[in-house]
Amino acid sequence: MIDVSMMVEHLKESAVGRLSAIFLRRHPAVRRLGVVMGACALIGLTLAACSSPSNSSEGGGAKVKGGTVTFAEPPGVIPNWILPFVGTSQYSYFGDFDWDWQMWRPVYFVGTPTSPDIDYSESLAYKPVFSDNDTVFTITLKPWKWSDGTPITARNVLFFFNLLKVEKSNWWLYVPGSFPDNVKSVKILSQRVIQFTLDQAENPEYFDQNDAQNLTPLPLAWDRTSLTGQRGNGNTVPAGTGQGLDMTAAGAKAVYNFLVSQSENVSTYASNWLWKITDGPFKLATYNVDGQTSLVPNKLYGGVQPSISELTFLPFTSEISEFSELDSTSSIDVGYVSYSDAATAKTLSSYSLAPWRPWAYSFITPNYNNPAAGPIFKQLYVRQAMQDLIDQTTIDQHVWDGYGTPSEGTAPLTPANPYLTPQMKAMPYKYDPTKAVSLLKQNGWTVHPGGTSVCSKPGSGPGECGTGIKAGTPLSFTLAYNDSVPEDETQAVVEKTDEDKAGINLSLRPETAQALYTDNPRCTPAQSACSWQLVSGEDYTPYPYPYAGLNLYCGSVLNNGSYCSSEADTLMNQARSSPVPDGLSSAFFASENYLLQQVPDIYQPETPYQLTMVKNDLHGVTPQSPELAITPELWYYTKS
Amino acid sequence: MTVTRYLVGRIAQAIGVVLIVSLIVFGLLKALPGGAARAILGPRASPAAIAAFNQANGYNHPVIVQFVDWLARLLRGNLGYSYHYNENVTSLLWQVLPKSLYLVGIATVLALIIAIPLGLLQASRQNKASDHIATGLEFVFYSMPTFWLGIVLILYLAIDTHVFPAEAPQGSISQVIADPVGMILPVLTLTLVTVALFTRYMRSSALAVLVEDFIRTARAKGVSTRGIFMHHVLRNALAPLATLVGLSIPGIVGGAVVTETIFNYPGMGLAFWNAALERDYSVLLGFTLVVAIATVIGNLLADVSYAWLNPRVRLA
Repeated sequence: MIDVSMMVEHLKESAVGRLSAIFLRRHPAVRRLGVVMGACALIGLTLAACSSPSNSSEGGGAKVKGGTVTFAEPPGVIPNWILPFVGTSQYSYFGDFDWDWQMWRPVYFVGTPTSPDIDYSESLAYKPVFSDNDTVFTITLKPWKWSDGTPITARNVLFFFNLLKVEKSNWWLYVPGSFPDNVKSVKILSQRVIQFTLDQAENPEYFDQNDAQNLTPLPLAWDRTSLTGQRGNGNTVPAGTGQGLDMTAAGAKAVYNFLVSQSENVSTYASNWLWKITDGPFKLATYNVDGQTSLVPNKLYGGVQPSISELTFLPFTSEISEFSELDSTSSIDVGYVSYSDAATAKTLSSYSLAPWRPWAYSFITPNYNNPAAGPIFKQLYVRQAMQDLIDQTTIDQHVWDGYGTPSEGTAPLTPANPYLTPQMKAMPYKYDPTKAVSLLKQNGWTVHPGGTSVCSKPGSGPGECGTGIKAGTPLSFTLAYNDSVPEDETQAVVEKTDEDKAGINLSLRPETAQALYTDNPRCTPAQSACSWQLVSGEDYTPYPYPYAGLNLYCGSVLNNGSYCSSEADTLMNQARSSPVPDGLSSAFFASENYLLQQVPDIYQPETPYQLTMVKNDLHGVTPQSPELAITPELWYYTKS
Repeated sequence: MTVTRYLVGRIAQAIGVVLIVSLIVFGLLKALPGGAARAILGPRASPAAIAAFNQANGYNHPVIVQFVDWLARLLRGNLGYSYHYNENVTSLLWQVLPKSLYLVGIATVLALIIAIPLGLLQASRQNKASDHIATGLEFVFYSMPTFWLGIVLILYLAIDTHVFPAEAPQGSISQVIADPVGMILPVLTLTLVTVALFTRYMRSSALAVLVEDFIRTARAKGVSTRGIFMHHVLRNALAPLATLVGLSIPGIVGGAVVTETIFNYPGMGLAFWNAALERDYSVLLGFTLVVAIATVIGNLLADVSYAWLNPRVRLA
């Protein structure tokens, strides 16, 4: 019997030995699926506070106005795309939503510290109003202003929407059939009121949090194709709300191309007048092409005025260099440490360690279209057996030092939230190798613990292996994982060891974070790119309303593993379109329970986005938003 | 053969090598999985974006036309565009190359300044205690991993004693140059590892020269030991070292990825490494070409300097 904890300790020692090697922390792409835009709130939700320590109290001395906060960027992250419209090419590499969000906030901003909810106090609009059987969605903007003194109006929202309509195929969040395709018409009712009419009734929570959250007002001064001259086509300034280059498809395209060309000129970010017009709490002060950039308060911001006088984003080449700087000079106010350095970090008297827990769950994605493994993965009992062999408790305790939280189902299990059904809270797939072995035996497999189990009863009848599985087919798969983080590798080794107990043989394939993304794409069986079988480290960070359709709907471009179930699709469609008279719909819960039972992905512990280190005299940083947004306008120093 | 004719011939040869390298690089670009457009724009790029990219870069033309167009762009300084860094590869190069040249160049020069006299000293004291001690230390530093040495220096000279900063100076090259103290630890890390190699070469080369007949003649004529080393041994012993330094030029241009990573000093090495991890093919191929050119130049300089140091060598 292998002592997993001893093995993990041994692996960690070797991992520590590699600590000094070059490594990257988790790639920012973990945030790619839905977390990055502000979201509309689920009405009236209050979620439990994160377990991280809070430094939001007034304790520790008198509040001091001013001061420069130095915020350490994750290794390799450089704020290098300023236009608040991220294209598919930029999205692969987009370094820093946090930086961009300080200057341009979405209509609904998800910055609530303790939950993935909308922070209406920091949002540009009031709560939306639904009408006409949930086919009409009306947004009223607050009477706030741009940094140039002009009011933020419904026309600004329409400007963004017009660009989105013509460039949706270039938009990183676009899923065909989804937003903005589901919008039949948009109407400006008054200066600050804009109304969206949908092509069919939609669950307001779905539309709020998964669609409308993507609206980011853009200043009308950007409605141009040249830096000089008047707005629009360079002639007179359009007077009415119905005028502007963006009001036609060709004009919107021209404006989009112009703005993209400006955004591609990184050396001019600080000097280009376009980027000086912001509606967020900050505006750009300095920008170095190596990624060091400073923001200063936007004095006309309508929300909470920042207490700090400057926010500096500092890029780092590695966690080693960041921790060295943090340890030697304490010049970093908000930084991070690796798991290996966590014990040392806790001894630093001028800092507090706060795990930043995302609104996310982690899983291994099976490739249902892999020619060899696909038919095996399509068998529910195989997925259930594999899930029964994931010992999330041990992995969390010994690999992630207790910082992780379990994942199971299509909504995060923590923080406590109203999206969880009783079945999800019960976590039906406990670590149970005996049950896994039994499942396989009952379905025609000869199980060889420590070896490789094989199909001994081919066929599609009861007690047989299943459609497309021949006699002698081995339960042997390749598992790709991110080798940039030592703990990810250790986790993969532990999972391999545990799957071995039922003769499920995993060959581990280490890959860089970027290669994980590019080498394991959504594919069809005939494509050479479909040779991958299992990929670990997929972190799905849903919108606050955890609609599973984005990554599990048949044909969804975000459905990497090509899971496809007509029954699941039906349930997810119902969850999306069902009206909500008084809160969450039963269709939503039904879809969740079905997917929980189906185990479309193999769940594993979700871990903190980072282990944040916060200077003790800086307050308001924690609790940290599960949607990974920062709200530095709420940060302040104290003087003891 | 005159020096001029030699140089002309070698330059023509160098151009030929660079052309071959560019052909290989172009071939690699064409061989990218899914095509250059998909590889560069990312797996989620829309078909429209792919088509626009191919149109803009002439990938819908015959291959030979594509190569000529690509060469023409290279000659105009256009090495492509990096979506990871959101800037032209050429612009990126001009940001990171000076930093790498500064760091690795200073470390190389310092290593030479130390290695040349130390190597001569060891040769003059061959097999004495001082020679053995120096040899031992050289082997220690030579075998020391750069990342480990860097971390140890940070630990003791930055974190524990606050003598030097833990990270290298940030910002543009002018800002880096304005903060020499911040460069001490990274330069020291590279110098200690490099000086060992240069010293061993210098010592071996000097020992080889010391057994030559002309050295015996010089001694017989009464030339002092100092005079023998300074006027007879030094120049002759430098030739192999000059070759080594010439061959080090690609490394100087290519940067020191480990040192750059540890000291938060984004240079060529780290940019190239990140490009490899991120599959940023534009940067990978552009930088490969630049390093290839540096290699050719380095070899040329090594040959020329060798001939200058040793006139007996015919330039052929």
